[in-house]
Amino acid sequence: MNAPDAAACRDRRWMFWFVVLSAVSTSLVLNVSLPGCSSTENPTPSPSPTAEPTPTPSAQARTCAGCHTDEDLLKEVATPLPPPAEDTGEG
Amino acid sequence: MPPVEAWEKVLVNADFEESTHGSLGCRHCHAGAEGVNEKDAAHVGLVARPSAGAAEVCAACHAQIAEDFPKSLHATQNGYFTMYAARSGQSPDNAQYAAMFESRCAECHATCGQCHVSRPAAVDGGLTRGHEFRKTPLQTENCTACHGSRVGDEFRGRNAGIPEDVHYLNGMNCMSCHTGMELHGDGTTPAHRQDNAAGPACVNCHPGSDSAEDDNLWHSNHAGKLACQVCHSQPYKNCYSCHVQLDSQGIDFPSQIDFRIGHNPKKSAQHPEEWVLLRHVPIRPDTFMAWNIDLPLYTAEPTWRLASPHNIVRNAPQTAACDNCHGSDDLFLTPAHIQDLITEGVMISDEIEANASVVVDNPPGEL
Repeated sequence: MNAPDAAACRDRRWMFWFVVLSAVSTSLVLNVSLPGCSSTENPTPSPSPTAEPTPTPSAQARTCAGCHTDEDLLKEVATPLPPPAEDTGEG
Repeated sequence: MPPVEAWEKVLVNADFEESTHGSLGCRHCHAGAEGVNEKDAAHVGLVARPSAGAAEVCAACHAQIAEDFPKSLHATQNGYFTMYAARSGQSPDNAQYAAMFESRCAECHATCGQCHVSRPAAVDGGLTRGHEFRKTPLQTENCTACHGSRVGDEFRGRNAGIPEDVHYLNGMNCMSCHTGMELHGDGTTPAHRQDNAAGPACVNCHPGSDSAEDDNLWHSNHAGKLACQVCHSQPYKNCYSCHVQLDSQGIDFPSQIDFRIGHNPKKSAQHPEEWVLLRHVPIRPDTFMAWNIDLPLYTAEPTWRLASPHNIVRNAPQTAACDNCHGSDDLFLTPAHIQDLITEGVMISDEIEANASVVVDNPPGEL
């Protein structure tokens, strides 16, 4: 291996570590600044079929209105009540 | 009225939470579990119909109405109890009658919610307009959901060949005549709906039409003698058996369209006229026999009752000529007409005695 080859190889090693360190630092900066990516945010629970006997709206926590304003969800999970005992009405 | 789908019964408008009632929060009225993200667990302790019973959640803001309403006819259905007591000689508080009424008739009890936020239980309930609270009930989904087959059909002209009520054609609805005071009550319990002092009266909008001084000769000549409906109603529905006596088709005898003028069975401040329209109501001595309830005083009350058909027109067929009433008995409840109905099998012979006070032996003579 001649002298010029050794210098080029050293430059490549510097370039390699520069790229690696840049990538690591960029990733750390993005991880704490992008919404929803921080480890301090509430983690999204992983759905567990055995823990949820009936369909749930989503993995995200919802309010009463969150479910009852969701027409598609209600069509999926609403349970018909038993029919009235008798046909009623004034006549 | 067919029931709505299960999902639609519980669908809430996206903007409901911004409304006055919505801002209270769901659990304020409906309870249920907090912070639970699973359907069955979230509904533990749920109060599906918060206004049933004492309606305490409504009373917090609507105190006077909440105090008066439980005594009203819509809440008590006291007219049924009054007539039961008259025909049975028994107090309606007896256990047999209470059990029968609760199992067969009590669905007609109205609550705050069944008029102002959902359909009534009689048509299987369900939120209306996405849980929107309405001061004025919806005519179709609330009022005629219960009062449909007679009042609703008459008002909208759904009886074959009989036109709509002129008030309906002019954009009026039930609440144009029936006020909140009438429907919520004033804290008293009328014996019957026709004793409700807050009930509608034609003269509220047509003042003077019941006066002998009125410029209209038809009005002045008949003032104080005829109920307005005698001249301005059209033929209406009459029922000849009871809802609790059903055949395989769901009804024992079909209703019949008829128009019968008779004597007023119960003159009162609200209905002082001698001549009124009469409608046959579905009651027989054995109506409650399945519950071992007898009506030994069946003949004590007419089975043709004072009627207010909801198909008013300015010029009805009977007013086309004076001799439609004067000198003719075609429109009157005569003994012969009752006998025809007995022969037909829709009335029974006991009803001759029961209707003695309202039947017309001598229709008005020719002019």
